[in-house]
Amino acid sequence: MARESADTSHARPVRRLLMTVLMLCLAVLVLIWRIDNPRVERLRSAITDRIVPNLEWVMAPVTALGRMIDDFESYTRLYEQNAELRRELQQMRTWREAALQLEQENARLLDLNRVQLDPELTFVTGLVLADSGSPFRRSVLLNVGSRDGILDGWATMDGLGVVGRISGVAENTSRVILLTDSNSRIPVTVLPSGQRAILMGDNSAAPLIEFLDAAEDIAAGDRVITSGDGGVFPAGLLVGQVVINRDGQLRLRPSADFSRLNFLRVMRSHPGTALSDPGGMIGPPWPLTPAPGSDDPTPVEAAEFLPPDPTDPDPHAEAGDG
Amino acid sequence: MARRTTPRRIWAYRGIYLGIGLAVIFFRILPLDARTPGLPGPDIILSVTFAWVLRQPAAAPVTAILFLFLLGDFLLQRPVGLWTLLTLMAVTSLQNRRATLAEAPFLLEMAVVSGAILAMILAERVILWVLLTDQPSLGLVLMEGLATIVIYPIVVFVSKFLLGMDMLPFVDREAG
Repeated sequence: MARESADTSHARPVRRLLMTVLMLCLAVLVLIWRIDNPRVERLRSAITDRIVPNLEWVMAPVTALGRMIDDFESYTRLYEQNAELRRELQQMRTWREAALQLEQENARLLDLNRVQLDPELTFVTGLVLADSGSPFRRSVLLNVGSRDGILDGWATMDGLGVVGRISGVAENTSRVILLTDSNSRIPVTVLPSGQRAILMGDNSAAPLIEFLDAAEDIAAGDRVITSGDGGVFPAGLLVGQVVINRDGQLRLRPSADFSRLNFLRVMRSHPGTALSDPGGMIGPPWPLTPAPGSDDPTPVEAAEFLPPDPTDPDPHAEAGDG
Repeated sequence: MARRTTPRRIWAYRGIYLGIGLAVIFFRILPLDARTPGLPGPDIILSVTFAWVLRQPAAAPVTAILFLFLLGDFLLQRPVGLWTLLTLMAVTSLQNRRATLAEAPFLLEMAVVSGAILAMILAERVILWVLLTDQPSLGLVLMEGLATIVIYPIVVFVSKFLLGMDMLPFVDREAG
């Protein structure tokens, strides 16, 4: 109240003027955010980079505590889980036999073909620092950044499947847009039929599979891998399995475990696409000759190939890995 | 009355305000579970801001509101500045209505605050639509707004009985 009595009659118009100026500034800020989005997003990641790593000493114990509580809750369902695991183990034994035979066969065939698995796919491992903090955005913050050579657009996986892509790199941190975020679009191949599609996140747990040629050829349980179309995402990484929901929509159940994102691999695959201008017209790929260093063909050529050749070796490598 | 007008008390409130705000942002960015949550939680900072601005405007000064909401905009991946702008507008209009709200029953205050929150959600959608930006689904946003409205009486209860914050009579301000 000591404050309020200071609001004398000449102070109130000043205060009102100040508020108006403040609101105008904020409105300008929103407009700048809309007009020069890449720059403001860089500012955002710089601010995050400044604040979040400094909080690590508090966040680590609280996060660990939260995860312990989660784990403890899962103890209460121990009996069901145990029964379920036994059942799955039974199935897995048969699968293991099949996998061993296939692995031998695959090794023989690879040897015959002298195929070299993609040597450019090395990875950098990062630790998840923070969440997006909003119910409408699905992203996580990693503790690796431009210092470690991370570039925008690189794929990110947990041990098993694709988690998302790098979008926004700061000095010490980088942000991963998850598959499930409504801004996520990833070119994929549905495996047995080899059809190309786009995986569109929509903030639900299972992203949509869209732009298929013949959706009737797809069955639930088909494997989905990245196709590498357009050259913005590396090809041949396992993404998940097709599920069909009640409306007949094709959706994807990710192989990655989104409930426990802890260590993530950032696949060091290709130079990535720099986001320097707001974007231009969509036209034919230009220049039309492929870069000599890159291993994937231009999109025009890729459309002519049918997938079994380029995509087949990699999933087996994945299965052998995990 | 004189008990809670001391500057020390006001400064304590300001400290608590900043502390609550920072704690809420901190807990929201904890990487506990990256799956989609069923229901979005309430915007606790917003309801605390409204409740305190109506009770003791000095406890939630504009600079603190600006700081907390801008930090939230940057860290929580919201459109930068938009939610802050809408909050400041709502706070200003609530402060202008303190004359009627100070003596009015709590239900009326509740209705006004609900109206303000819904108006903010609507305005945000309209502005994002005009700016041709991607929008989160209306259902989720409304759910968050409703959760914020539902939590408002709890916030008022806590600030009244645990923090001893009563509605500041409007007369003082008018006299000044």
